[in-house]
Amino acid sequence: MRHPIAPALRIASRAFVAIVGGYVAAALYAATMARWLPMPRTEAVMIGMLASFAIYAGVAIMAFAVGSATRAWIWLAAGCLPPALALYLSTHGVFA
Amino acid sequence: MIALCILAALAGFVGLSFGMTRHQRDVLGRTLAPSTSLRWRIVGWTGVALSLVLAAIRDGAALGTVYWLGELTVAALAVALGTTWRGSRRGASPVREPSGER
Amino acid sequence: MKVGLRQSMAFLHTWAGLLFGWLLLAVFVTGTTAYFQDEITRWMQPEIKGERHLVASAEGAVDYMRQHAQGVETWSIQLPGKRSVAAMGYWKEKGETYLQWRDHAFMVDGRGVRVDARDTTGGWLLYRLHFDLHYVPVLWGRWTVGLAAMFMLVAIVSGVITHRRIFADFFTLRLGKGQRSWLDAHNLGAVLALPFHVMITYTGLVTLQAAYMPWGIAAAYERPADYHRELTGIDAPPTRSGTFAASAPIADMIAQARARWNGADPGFIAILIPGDANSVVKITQDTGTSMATRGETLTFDAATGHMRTPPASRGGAAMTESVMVGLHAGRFAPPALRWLYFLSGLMGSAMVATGLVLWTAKRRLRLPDPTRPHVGFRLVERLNVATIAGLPFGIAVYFIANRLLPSAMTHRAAWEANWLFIGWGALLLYVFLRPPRRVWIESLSMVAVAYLAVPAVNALTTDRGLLRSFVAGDLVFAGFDLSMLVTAAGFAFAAWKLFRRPLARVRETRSRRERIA
Repeated sequence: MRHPIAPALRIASRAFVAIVGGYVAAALYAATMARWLPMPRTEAVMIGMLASFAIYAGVAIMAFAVGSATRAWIWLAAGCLPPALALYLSTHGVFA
Repeated sequence: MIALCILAALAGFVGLSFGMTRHQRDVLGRTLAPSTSLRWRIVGWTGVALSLVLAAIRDGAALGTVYWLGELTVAALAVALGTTWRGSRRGASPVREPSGER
Repeated sequence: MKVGLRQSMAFLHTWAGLLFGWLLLAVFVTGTTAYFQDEITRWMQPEIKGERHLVASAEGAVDYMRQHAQGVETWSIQLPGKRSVAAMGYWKEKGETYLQWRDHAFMVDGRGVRVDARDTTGGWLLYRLHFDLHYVPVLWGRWTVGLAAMFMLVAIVSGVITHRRIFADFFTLRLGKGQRSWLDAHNLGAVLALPFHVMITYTGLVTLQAAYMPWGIAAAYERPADYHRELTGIDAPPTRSGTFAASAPIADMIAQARARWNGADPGFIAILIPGDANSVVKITQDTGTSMATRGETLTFDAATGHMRTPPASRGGAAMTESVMVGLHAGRFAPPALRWLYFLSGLMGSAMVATGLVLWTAKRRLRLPDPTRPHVGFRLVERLNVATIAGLPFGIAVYFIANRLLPSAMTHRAAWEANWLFIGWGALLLYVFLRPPRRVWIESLSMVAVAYLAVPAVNALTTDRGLLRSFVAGDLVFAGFDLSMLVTAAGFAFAAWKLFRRPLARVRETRSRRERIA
């Protein structure tokens, strides 16, 4: 793994997790909160939006804080799984 | 009343800076005993807390806090510029550690 | 190779900051001026004089549109806030979009009389630049600024993690030590106003969150419009009946609104299908009357002046959003707090500017050949000057153009804005053509001269120069001119400091460089 291109690629990989992955995670949580929070719809939507930027920033920090680019991807996937599942369940009429 | 708030914050930050060895050296030219430093820090935090109380009495908790944060910025900036000016008059203290790498 | 958290955060901080640094500086500077948006607009329309009288100007605007704009879709009136004098009326004809409102805009002063003020975008241009940019579609501008704000948020968090001694360095500014001094200045600008920076960045994202993060709306609602209707409680627009009906007096409706708001002023009036029997009047509370900026909108039947049932009060989350946006814009702030906001904005601008300079200061010593730096370094170095001096220069040129362009000129307001960018572009060109050694001193001097020229040109072209404003006790005009002089003094001081930079420092830098090499 001592290739001159490799460090740049690893940084690009982390940046992708931070910028694109962070947005996807924030969007998933915002949408899940909008459907699941037990309160009037406008309020649930609003809380989801208000919180989303903190989630986005959190993912971006995580992408560069963890030990390797691979780990950043794993953490991103782990973080996205619960809201994705909850969203799937609620949009397909299983719950809520 | 706003001036009073800034004054309290200013007093607080002066106290806090006197509680720090670097500024003791810059402003006084010597370091103070740990117990004296502690006393300055207590004075400092009291001043900062007092300015919050004053702001909250004047404008209520919400608006008062917004004012307070702005007033803290003014006061801290004044103290920072003041210690810098004093320090440069005395001949700046040598940098203790090699510059922190960023 | 294992890297510590602090190093990886420092890396993130450096590059997230640099990538959007120049844009963020422009956002900070224009946003800071926006705290005095109303005052800037007043200065840029010296024809408007006298006292503010909200009801008289609203009546004057309605009368004017009754005579000149029958049968159109909407009459709108932007009422003067506490810091303004004149109301602005405009109408929308059938088939037009709201973006064309400037085509039918006019000003009404406190006597209710239409004033022929020069066509200008005033302080509003700088305010819009702050989040819409210019010459690009609004949507692109907002997304670009939103992305920059997200980078800013990440830069703040990573910067706090990187900064080893926030408390130990709290009051520290060591001057004349090159890179160390820039780092100190950067830290001071960041730490002393840190609550403001966190607040302004996060709430900035919140102001446009429905555009940036619409997925919650999409998940919970069939159409976005349904969400907005449910949130604001505003019902569907009225349909035309075809029969004419005279409107009830607007003053009565304003009085009803004020009574409901415990005396708070309205800020905006929209009259839909004016003159029709189904016409509706919507009165929105002035955004400057409370920290929660999303003022209530009341609906009246125009023909009777009868108020419809007001919308239900907002929930906790909606109220939080309203206060966050209010905190960001600071429209509620009384004069003293407004200046504190302004100072915090300046600290933010200084934080970004010193951060950008720090990037070069840190790398200059490590250049393999300092006389011929690599392309990236040269680009950053030049862009720094072109932004830190260029944007303020452009703004000064904008103010001067406001006084010098003929008032009968077509597209006058657009040309004022063009001059901002001509000024900025000219300085950018200059920076890239000159040898880098003198370019800072020369650019900063040019900015100082430009700001010195603003009150001078004002005194020569209007009857509201600094001396007269002082004598007349006109705080807005005198304050504006004085601010220009202080800005000029600030840039002149910076230029003078660079000019007087002791030779010893230069030699020391050179020898340090040799030691490193």
